[in-house]
Parts: sequence; structure tokens; C-alpha cells
Amino acid sequence: MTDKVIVTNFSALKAKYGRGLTAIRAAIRRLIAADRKRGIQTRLVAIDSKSAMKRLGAPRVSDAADPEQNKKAIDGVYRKLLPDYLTLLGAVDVIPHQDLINPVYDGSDDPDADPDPCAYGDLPYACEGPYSRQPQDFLGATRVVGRLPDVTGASDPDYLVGLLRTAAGWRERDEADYLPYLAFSAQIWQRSTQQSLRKAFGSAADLELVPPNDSRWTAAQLKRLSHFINCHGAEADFHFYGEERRTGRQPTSHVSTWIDGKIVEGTIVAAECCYGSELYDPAKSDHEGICSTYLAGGAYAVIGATTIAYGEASRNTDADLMCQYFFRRVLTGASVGRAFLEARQEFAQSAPELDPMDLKTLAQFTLLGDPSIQPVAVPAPSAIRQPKGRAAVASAARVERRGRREALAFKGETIASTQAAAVRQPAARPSGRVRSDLMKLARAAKIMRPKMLSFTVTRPQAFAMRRSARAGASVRARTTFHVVLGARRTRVKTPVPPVVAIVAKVVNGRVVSTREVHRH
Amino acid sequence: MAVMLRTEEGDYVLRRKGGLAFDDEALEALVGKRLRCRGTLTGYTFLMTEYEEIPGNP
Repeated sequence: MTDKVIVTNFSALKAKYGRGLTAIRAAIRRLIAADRKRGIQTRLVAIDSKSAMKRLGAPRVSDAADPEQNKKAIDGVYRKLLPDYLTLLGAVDVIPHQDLINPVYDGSDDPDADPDPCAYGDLPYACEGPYSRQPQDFLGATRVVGRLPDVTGASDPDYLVGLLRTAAGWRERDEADYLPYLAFSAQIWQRSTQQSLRKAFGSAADLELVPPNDSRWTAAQLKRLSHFINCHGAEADFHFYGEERRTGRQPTSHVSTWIDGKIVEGTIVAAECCYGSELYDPAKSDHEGICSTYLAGGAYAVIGATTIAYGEASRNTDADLMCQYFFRRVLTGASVGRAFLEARQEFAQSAPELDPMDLKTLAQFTLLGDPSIQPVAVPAPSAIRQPKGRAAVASAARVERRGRREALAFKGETIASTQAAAVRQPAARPSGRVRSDLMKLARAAKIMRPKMLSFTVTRPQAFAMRRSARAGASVRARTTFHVVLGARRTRVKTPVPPVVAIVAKVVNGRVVSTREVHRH
Repeated sequence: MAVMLRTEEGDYVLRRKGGLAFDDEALEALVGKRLRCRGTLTGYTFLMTEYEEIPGNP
């Protein structure tokens, strides 16, 4: 019986830490002991170990940097042990993110488009499907997965030992403790962020906008347990940025050094920013990223995007939804891992067809933190007789948890077998009329030198055939998506201009809906 | 439109190591100038640790 599996690559950790690995092993043992006291049976699996993987009937990892080897190894471990929680221990140089293809990458390095070749993330580790680089192959997550990262490129084990200490010593709090929040948003996304906060926390009254507020957050604000951030971010950068609606000016909104040593153990963070959960080597940029600094300060969970993220200015889509769904579930008492799985599932069902931006969002949003941590206590129903004694309580909790996992696995498999999604068609071109309509929209959005990408929609074949047979020709409509993206003209010159995309859904040759998304 | 480093190998978003990706006035002052710089390439961003202007127009 295994409730939680921690997978890691000791060869990679040894290469980074040498003798420091002893301290990490000791911290892992303490975490496993702490889990046992909570009624969680945790097993450590070295995915690079020949003997350990042979015992589990799973292929071992011989090249730590190989995403396919890691996917196959972790799938093998998961299927053998069927844990309720799966923890990936280590940063991307220990267990790599999966290298899903970014559906809106056009093959160029043009910074005014989307220059990320991959939408890196851990989504495939949470899905049953075999290794693939196509994000549409991983729509239906079924597993509770989180990553407890060390620092990429690090040689001092203290950071990871600290995170393991946090994971071992976590404590529940009342929901009321998580309702006060620190939330800040680029001014241009005020309405969208207000909606997110109302849906997640019941009020948007404490939202801060950047600008005008571009000073450090106060100690009292930083000590709030929920942090919700809707700002710009950049590659290998330890700053986030706001954006002024009128001019496009982008002042600093958050910096790793502002939070270093100033947040409270138990903080939960949802960051919509580009690169908000990028685990970059701090040697590149003088300081660890904001996500890593939060975790070092005792945060229980950080969710964010590994590359460029998207959202709308006036309503909730894309990154807004992932963050909002996650917080809503944490507040109802889910573990951070289950909250994130349920957020992924809800997001994957948020549209009849997932468009290219949806796919990138789903692929790259990542949970950093031990997935078994349950920040908000769930009050026991008083009318029901409760089990007594630690073993009986743990056993009852396990039964309940297994039931939830089965239901979530079924739901994930249903999503995987029914949900439609966009697939890039480099050769496809919209008709002249559609193209003309899209270019008008691009001009209205002040997009300079727009680029266009086209997509068809695929639906899992078995489901599509059944549905088509029942409903006849009405469901055989030809749906395509077209994305026009480029830099938006601003009143003031900015080093990195805001990038905007128009996503158009076209059915049988007619534009039926459009949305304007902003690069975060 | 971003501050770009144009090289024979390709074009990269330019940033000073530890500097701001957005709103960096020192970076904007380099626009249009020829540079000799040293740094790290990460993805599509070149993070400069050292740079000097090369006299003359590009």
C-alpha cells in the first residue's frame, strides 16, 4: 500500500551536490516519517536505479535530460504503485519538464510573436497517454502530481533541504486564514483580475493595480497567505511587471528580493505571468526566480506558466482560469495536488474545442510544491460518528481519498476520449473573406506586422464517430481556428512591446467568435 | 520592436544580466548602437554581463 510516491534521479542529484546528497537523503527520510505520522505511506523511487526500477517492472532513466525516458519511467512507477500523490523531486536538471510543442510557435525567434518552441510542463506526467510532444495528446489529466524543485544548476543542498522541511512540517489552517489576499494586476487587466478575485475569494476590494502602485508591498500585505498575481514576466527574470492601460508603460510590480524572508510559511501563490514558474538557473540572472524564492520562504504551493502565458483584459480565460480554479479548490480543503488536477480538468472542459492558447496554457501550467499538502482544514461532519485512533482515521481518510482519485481518473479519461482541440496546420490558409475580417480585427487591436497561424480541430475519433452517427450532418461542421498575433502599438516606447493575439473560431467558412488575448 | 541584439547567428532579445526586462532605460539608450558584449544566451534572450559600444554607425 503506497499513498504517495516521490520520484527522483539520484545520479543527477549526486552530480549536483556530491556529498551534500547525504543531507538531502536525510531530509527525504524525515519527510517520509512525517507523512507516516499523518497516515500517508510514502515511498521513494530512484528512477535511475536499475534494481529499483526492475523491481517495479519499469524502464529506468539512463539520461536524466531525456523527457521520453522520464515519462516512460514515471508512467511505469505510477502504474505499478497507483499512488494518490506523485511528487517529482528536483528541478528540470533532475527530472525534466516534458517538451510539448508550443502550438503557437511559428518557427521564428520573433519576440513580437510567441518565440517559445516548447510549452514545457509536467502535464504528461499527470496523464495516462504515452510519451508524445503533441499537447492535444494530454487533455485529460488523471493523476495528482506536483514538483518539489531544487534550484537548477545548484550545488548547495540547503535550498532543497529547506523545501523538504516545509513539506514535512506543513499544517492546516482555517479557510478564513486564506481569504485575505495580496493580489496585484497590471492595470490593463484590472477587470479580468477583479472577476478572478470575486470568483476565488468573494471580493476584489483589495486588488492593487500596477501602475499606479509600483512600490514594494508592505510587510502586512506580504504576510497574507494567498497571493494572486496577474502581471507580465520574462524569461530568466526575477521581476514581474505591470502595464499602464493608456500608455503601455510597464513598471516593476514584484521582485524576488522584495519577498525574500518576508512571506509566511504556508503561502499559496497563483501567478498568471509569463515564465511565472520557470525554474531557471539563477547564475543567468543574479537571483532565483520569484517562484523559487516563494518556495524557499515556506510557500506550500506556487502555480504558474513555464513560458509565455496569455489572458484577456476584460474577462477570464487562459491563465486567469487556471489560477482561479486552483485557488477555489484549495479554499474548499483540497490538497494542493488535487486542487491542481481538478483545475486542469475544469480548464480542459472550459470550451467545446480547446483553441491553441488554451492548449498552451494547459500544457505549461505547473504546480510547484508537495502535492499532498492540504492548506485548508475541512471540518468533520459533526452528526456522523468519526473513527477513533490514528490508524482508523488514516484508514478512513485513505478510503475517501481513493474514492476521489477513482472519480477524478474516470473524469480525466472521459475528457481525454471526448474533448476536441486545435491542431496546427502550417499549410492551411483562411479564405479571403475570413482573412480580411481577421486583418481588420488586427488593425483595431493596433497589432503591427501581424502573423497568422491556422489550425484545424480534431476530436477523439471514436467519440466523433458515435456522435456523428447519432446527430447526422449537423455535427460534421468544419471548425478551424486562426490566430493573428504581433506587437501592439503603444504610446510610449517599451523595451518589450505588449504582444496581442486575436483568436478566431471559424465554422464552415464563417467567423463565429473571436477573442483578444494578451501576452502576460 | 523589442531591444534586439542582431548577430550573424540570429536575433535575440537583449537584456542586462539582473536588469529589467521591461522599462530599462539603460538598455533603451543602446538602441541603434553597435555593441561588443559578453553574456549568456537563454532561449531567445541574451543576458549581457559586459558590453561596450563600438564606435561608428551600424
